Amino acid sequence: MKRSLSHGAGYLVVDHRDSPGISPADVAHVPGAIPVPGGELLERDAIVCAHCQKIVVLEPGRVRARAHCPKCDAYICDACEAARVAAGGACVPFKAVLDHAAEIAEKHSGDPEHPALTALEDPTTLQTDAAPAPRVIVP
Amino acid sequence: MARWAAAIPSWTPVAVADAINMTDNGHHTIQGGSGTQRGELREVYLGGLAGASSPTIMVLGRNSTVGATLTAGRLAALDPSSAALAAPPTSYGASTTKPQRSATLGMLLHLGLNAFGGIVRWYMGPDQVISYLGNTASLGELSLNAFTGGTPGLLGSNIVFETL
Repeated sequence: MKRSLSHGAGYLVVDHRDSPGISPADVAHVPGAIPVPGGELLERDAIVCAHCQKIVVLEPGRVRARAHCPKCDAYICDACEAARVAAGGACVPFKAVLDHAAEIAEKHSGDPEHPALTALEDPTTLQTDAAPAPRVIVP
Repeated sequence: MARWAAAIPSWTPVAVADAINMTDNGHHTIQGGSGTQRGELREVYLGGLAGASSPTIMVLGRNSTVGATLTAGRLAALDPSSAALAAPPTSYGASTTKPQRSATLGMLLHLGLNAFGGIVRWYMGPDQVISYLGNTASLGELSLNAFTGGTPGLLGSNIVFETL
């Protein structure tokens, strides 16, 4: 049973206790990178964004609300949260994208040159295809 | 299914930008064993082996161009009773057609470390996995390589994966 959204999270360890480490200046050009200076050990829970499979390292000191998709009930990354809100709350879990891609791959496994397989090159296309059709409710 | 370890004990990453050919023996990549094979990464470990300070900006991500004619590395089953895979994924660092990191999906995880004594390990929770599918772009390969900047140093890497 899942007890919380971070239950079963993975973890990231960066051990620079016997190393000069990485200063903030070293990784200033890399978005999202975590500097761990020399002599320090960093241990953090890490979860996978349910919508794109990027790893989100949980910052215990974060004060903003963490992005969460209420439809798949999972943490998502900030970029996917922005896309979710812009799309009116659409939820396309990456597992659905993979299922859709697997369906295409299996259907055309005997024909590696089939044009349908080009969809696998750009998962954002698959994401659109895997999205559930909008439901229109007429009162 | 069984878990397998793909290790390259000693290599020096070569920093490349997105969508640029990676350099032989400057990356560690896993490619699916068949066009429909699905698998999951479970753990990534990097241990620094450099003899001087080497800030190494490593990233794990998907490739938008996959390698071809691969020089396969070693795979080892974590459990001695695991049966051999009919179509095992390929762990490689050298190929004729070079892989390229995807500009959009190429940064799933940052694993920056100082290769002079630094260690970085990422371990997945039960449902916290990065998946691969097939052996074509952009879902069929996952690579460990250096992002531009820094001074990559000698390290050893180990990727634990599970085919489904």
